[in-house]
This record gives sequence, structure tokens and C-alpha cells, in this order.
Amino acid sequence: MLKLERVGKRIGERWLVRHVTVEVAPSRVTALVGPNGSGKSTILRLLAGLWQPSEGTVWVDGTDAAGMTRRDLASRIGYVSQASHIGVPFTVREVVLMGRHPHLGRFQSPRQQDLDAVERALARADVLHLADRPINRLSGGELQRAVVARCLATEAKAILLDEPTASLDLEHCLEIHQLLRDLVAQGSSVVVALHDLNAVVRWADRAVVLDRGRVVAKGRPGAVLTPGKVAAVFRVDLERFRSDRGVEGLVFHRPEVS
Amino acid sequence: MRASPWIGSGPFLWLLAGGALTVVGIAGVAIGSTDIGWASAVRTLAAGAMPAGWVDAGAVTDAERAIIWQIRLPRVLVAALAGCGLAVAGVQVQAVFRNPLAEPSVIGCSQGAALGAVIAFVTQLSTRSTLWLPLFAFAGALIALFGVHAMATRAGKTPVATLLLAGIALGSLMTAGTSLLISLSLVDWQVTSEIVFWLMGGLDGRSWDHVWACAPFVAIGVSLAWWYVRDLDLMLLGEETAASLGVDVERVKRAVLGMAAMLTGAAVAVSGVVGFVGLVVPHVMRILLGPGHRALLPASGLVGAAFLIACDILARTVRAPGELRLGVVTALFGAPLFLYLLRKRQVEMGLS
Repeated sequence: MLKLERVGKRIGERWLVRHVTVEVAPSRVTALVGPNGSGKSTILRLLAGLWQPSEGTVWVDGTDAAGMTRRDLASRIGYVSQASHIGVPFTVREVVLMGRHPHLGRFQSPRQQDLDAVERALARADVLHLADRPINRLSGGELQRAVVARCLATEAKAILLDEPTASLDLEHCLEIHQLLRDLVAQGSSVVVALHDLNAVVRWADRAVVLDRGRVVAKGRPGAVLTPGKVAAVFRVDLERFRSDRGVEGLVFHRPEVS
Repeated sequence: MRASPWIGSGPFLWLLAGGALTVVGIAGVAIGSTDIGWASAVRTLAAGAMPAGWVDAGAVTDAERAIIWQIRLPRVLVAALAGCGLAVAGVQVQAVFRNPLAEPSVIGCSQGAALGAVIAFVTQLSTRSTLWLPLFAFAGALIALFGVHAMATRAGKTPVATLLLAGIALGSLMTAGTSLLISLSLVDWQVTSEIVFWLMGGLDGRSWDHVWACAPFVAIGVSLAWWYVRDLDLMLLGEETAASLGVDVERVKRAVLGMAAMLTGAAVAVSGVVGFVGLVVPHVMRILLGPGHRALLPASGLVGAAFLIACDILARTVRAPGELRLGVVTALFGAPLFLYLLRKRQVEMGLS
């Protein structure tokens, strides 16, 4: 499993995150929330082993990630970055097949199991009908689902996504959230950076609240996203309600000027 | 339908590119100021390549045989090696920079090779042994490349934008150095004209020495390029994504750019400064075959070789018995084609 232990990341003199200890719960959706610049993307990159921590340790399945190869990390951790624009006319199927890279030898042709994994990933991310389209001709939502399919094709147990729903319409937003739920139901661990706190309360099992590079709260979303915490971190007033269908919802107000 | 790089490129592509190269290569041997028929050219080459007595060379005179073996064949081979090296280097640089307009000259590599070669000229080392020129060009390309890389690298990361800017700056500096050396040696007219001729690119008087001087570098460079063929595909998705899929991005960048420098140095050393091969050939191949390197890289190598042989045939026949400079021919060919392609279909590789 993935774990950050007293991890800090510094670029130049500036600490992007510091004193962060986060354990990724198995078979759970963990949401990273916080204002812009609070360190969500940094923590995802550290968890994925893409960045070396300036202090502390990143543990991947009980091993220090610093001693692992990129391929080994890639076969254990899937990562979907925020900026996923691809300007090259690869087809969607070709890009999803690249998710099999960590499993293939240098000159090995894709095996039947690789091609099967690709078809499964295409189907689960609902892009099977786009499989032969050039990826640079897709809409924002289609591209996002294609990129998620590539991540699924790695068949990594841990899946990290940086704001995967940012460019999606409502229907596909909900589809992605449902997909993440399905993944954890099958034993994957998901860490997802999200801005939409309603989605966090609705879909995530755990929330980690970040503020200026520090973890300020973690736990069940409903318990963590209290009016006091939200006011302190996001500087907005939070009002909670229960919908007609019995689902907890959040509305936000600009702070009262008194 | 284009070949899918991840499913396999198919034998058709190899037959086509290999066939084109063979035909152009034989034409390069047959065509020239002394007209040797195609049949005689093929017979003579076959007779030389096979054990004695297998092929009857027929009515080929000793003079013709000498022209083919000592003048035309080495020249064709040098053109093929240089064209192949430049095209493969172009593919590599374009993949690493994710920029279809990148070329070895963009990262200061060609300018470095040119400066190194001009130093060999000015110090008269080039007159002592044919090996000095390639070595100096190679050294210049490598020094330029690692200079650019060092300037552009901070904390183990080499952002592409910084690398391009450093390449332009160092390239200009190298060109200034070349100009300075030329103006200093203007008193010696013979050296100057030699340099200027060489800077325009040309294959006149290439011998087997030149073939052996660049063949190993091109062979090693192309083999190592093939080693990283799949990594290059993933690099096109962006460095972070490539890393998340298991590519050791910084190592691949260093290795691939180092190879591109070696290929450029080897090519520049034996053919002078020949532009547009590394730009146009990969570009056309990308439009025909798609972006996957498993097809793109070998096809560019083969077609680059055929392209430069064809340009050289033109260079020595258009105003025979005189010769056009090879660099002028490739530019006349390459620049309009490139502009046409640029207008006809927008740069597909993306400049994001």
C-alpha cells in the first residue's frame, strides 16, 4: 500500500508540502481537498513516485519508493495528471495500449492478455466506441475518459487522479465517480484530488484536507468538512442540508461581512 | 489506413522503403558524367559483392569498374549513411522536444559539429588524415549538446523550453565562432574556399575512408535509437505521463539526445552541413505512417538515405561536369516541400 511518512517537498527555498503523513486506505476512495496551491497535486506526484521527497519517506507496498525502478512503480501505481492534452494523432486504442508499457519487455509485442486488458479498460471508461479515433480530435470529456482508460489498462492496484472530473459534463462526472466506486469495490485503492466538496461527501470514503502544504484534517468526509474547518481552510461559509432523497449536500456562501 | 506502431509496422513498409533505397542507390552508381548503363552497374556491383565467378561482369571496362568501385559507390554509401543519420537524429530530437520543427540544428548540435570541423580545417589537421574531420565534428556536436544540456538543466530536470532557448543561444555562439575562424583565415584563400564549400555541404571526392569514418557511428547510433523506440512513443504523451507509465524520462532524454549528437556529428563530418534532411524526411514519414516510432524511425532512416542519394544525383548531373552544392539541393528540395506541408496540413504533432 501507499504511505507518505513525514514527507516534505521543497523547490528552491519554498516548501510545497511539509510534515505530511498520509496512508492510502486499501479499497477506499480517498479524496484530497484544499484550495488552489495547497499541495494536492504535489502529494499525488509524491505518492506516484514521480517526485522524490526532500525529506521523509514514500512507502510503496512496504518498500521505500526511492529504491524502486520507474517500471516497478508504474506497474503498481496508475496516475492521471491534470493537464492531459495530447497533441499527437495516436488512436485512443494505441494510447490505452501504452498503459501496458510497464508490463512489456523492451521489444515484446503486446500479448493477448495485454490486448484483453486494453479492451476491458476501454469498455469500463466508456470509450470503446472512440477506440479508433485520433486522440487529439476528442472533446475534453472524451479525452479525460480515454486517459482514465489508459490508467486502468496498467491494472495497477493504486490509482491516483488529479481532478479527473474538472472538464466533464454532469453525466460523465457521475460516471467517473461511479467508476471509481466500482474500482474500490474490486479491491483497488483510489486517491483523487477534487475541488467539488459535494462530490467528496457523496462519493469518497475518506477526505484529507490540505491547507498551504500541511494536512489539517483527515477522516470521514462528513466528519471532516465541518463549517468551522471549511471556513478556516477555504474561507467560505458552509451550510449543510439533507436532500429529499436523503443525501447530504453542501452549499457555500461568501463569508458574512459583519 | 496507417500502420499501427503498437501492433506492428508490417512487411509492406519495409519492402517499399528498402526497394526505394535500392533503386536510388543503383541509380547513384549508374548515373554520372561517364554514363554507365544500369545493367552494367548492377552486374559490376554483383560481381564485386559475390564470390568470384558467380556473376559474369560482362563487357565492363577496367575504367568503368574503377569509377564504380572507387568513386561512385563510396559516394553513394556516404550519402546513404549521412542521410540515414540525419533523418534518425531528426526523429529523435522531435520526439524528445515534442516539436515537429525541432532538428539537430535547433539544439546547437549541427553548429557545434560545423565549428569542430572548421577548427580541423583551419589547423590543417584535416589535410593530414581523413579521420580528423569526423572526430572534430563529432566532438563539436557532443560538446555543444552537453553544453546546452548543462545550461538548461536545473536539479536534474531539463524543461524543453529552456533546452530550446539554450540551444538557440549556444548555436548562435558556435556560428559566430565559425564565422570568426573563417574571417581570420581569409588570408589563406585555399583554406577559406575549402571551408565555404564544406559549409554548403557536398560529397565530391568521398572515398572509402569517409565511409569507414562514419559507418560505425551511424550503425551504433541507429541501433541504440531502436533500443529506445517505445520510450519515444510514450514521451510524446508528455514527460510526466511517460514517467507515470514507467519511462525513466531523464535517462531516455540524455541517451537519445547523445545519440542524435553522434549521428549528426558523423553525418556533418563526411557530408558537410546538409540541412532539411532531419526536418523534412521525418515529417513526410509521420504524415504517411502516423506518429508511432516503431514504423517512423526505420522508415525515416531508409528514406533519409534514399533522399540524400537522390539529392546528390541531382547535384552532380544538373550542370555536369560541374557540381551543385549538396546543401543547396536539399534546401531547394526541402524548404518548399516543408512550407507546402506546413500549409497543407497543420503541424499535427502539436506544439503544446
